[in-house]
Amino acid sequence: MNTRNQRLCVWSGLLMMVLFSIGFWGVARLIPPPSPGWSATDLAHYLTEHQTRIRIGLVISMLGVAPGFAFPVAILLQLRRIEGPSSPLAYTQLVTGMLTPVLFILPMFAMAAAAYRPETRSPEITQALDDLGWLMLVGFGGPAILQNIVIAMAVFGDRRADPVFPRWVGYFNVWAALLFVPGLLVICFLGGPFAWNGVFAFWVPLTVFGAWYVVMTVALLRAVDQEEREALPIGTDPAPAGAPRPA
Amino acid sequence: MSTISETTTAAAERGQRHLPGEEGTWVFILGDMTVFAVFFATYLYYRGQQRALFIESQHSLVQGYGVTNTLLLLTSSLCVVLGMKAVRRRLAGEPTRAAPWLFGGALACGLGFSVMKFVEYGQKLAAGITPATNDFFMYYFILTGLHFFHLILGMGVLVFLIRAGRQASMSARQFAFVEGGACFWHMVDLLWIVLFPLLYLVK
Repeated sequence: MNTRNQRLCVWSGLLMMVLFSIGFWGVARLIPPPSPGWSATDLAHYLTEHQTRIRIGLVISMLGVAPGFAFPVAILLQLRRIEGPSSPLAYTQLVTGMLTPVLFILPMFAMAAAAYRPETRSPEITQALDDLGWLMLVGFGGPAILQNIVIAMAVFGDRRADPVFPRWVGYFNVWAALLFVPGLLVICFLGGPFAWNGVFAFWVPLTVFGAWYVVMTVALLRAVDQEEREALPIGTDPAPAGAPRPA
Repeated sequence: MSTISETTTAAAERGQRHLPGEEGTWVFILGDMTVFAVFFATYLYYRGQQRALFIESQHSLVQGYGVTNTLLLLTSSLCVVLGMKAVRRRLAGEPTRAAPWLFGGALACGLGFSVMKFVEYGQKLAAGITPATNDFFMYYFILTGLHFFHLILGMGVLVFLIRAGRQASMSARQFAFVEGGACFWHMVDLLWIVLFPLLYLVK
């Protein structure tokens, strides 16, 4: 058992969120998103004017998303402790969780293509690429929803005397799954709260997404601590000799 | 098993509060209600931007459907409250078999609500009114649709409560799950109580 590497996997989730925020939000300033209601000419003009920082920001966030691949592995390792050797839920979680960083990188490439040469090509082409990027980034909620449901099923099914995750983590995941649903409506709206820059398609899921990483990180770190304690031979004091015992 | 009624009455005697359901149930219920609050605030914000349009569109809603559905849900919540009392009495050893029937009554009200919703949606669509008609109807369909989705989940919960209500004994965890399910149904009711005046009545 290697708990050090496991903890690295856990922290990679927040690392991804921080790097993504620096690139996408701080440098490229693509949050709040450019409105879907802009005309093609306005959009092309905007992308031309801010081309450099959008490109640099996208490079940072594309690289920053990479640690996100390790996070579902951390969840897998803990769900396997609940499910035992044959772990259908843990592996379904892995498969769906691995898609999250992919579904960040792909739309960012569409946005990068939109910002590639907006000054020389017809503005409608730029708009089409930008549409593709934002619709994909905001609308691709399906895998995350299944991931949350699978985690909740595993948490509720935990029959251990000392459960790996507290049961409220299961309820939290059900709640998060429900809140990702409105994002799927993004393809139907050009404006208002369900468009890609609206309250329910963008801001609510973004907040829940951030909160989910924080909650899961805390829950996972505690679960790894518990795994470490359980691995000690019975009767061993977890604190080194002479060290003060934790309260 | 009498431990459940013992713990709740003992807690009541000591003046402590009994939290219904598991703690986690409330993470979900309060979280869900927070989001609905955001939905309602957004609706009111956009309503303020296009008051005339919203009021005009609101006139085409049939208030009778809304009132009937409100009464159905209030009745169903009453059934659930009485059903939970019956469950407690049965676990305390009384030979009552009322709980499954009361939960069944709540389910019947939920089914009645669903039928009314289908009739109402059907009439709107037949009249050529869709979510694309205007902003009011977009909110009308999305808010009532989202509530309807919760109601369907809630009816699943009621089926579970009917089965649980037949049992003569329950572990503390099972009982907490049953209580949490009842709370979820009350939330579905409560959301409608707010949604109904917002969509049908606000002047």
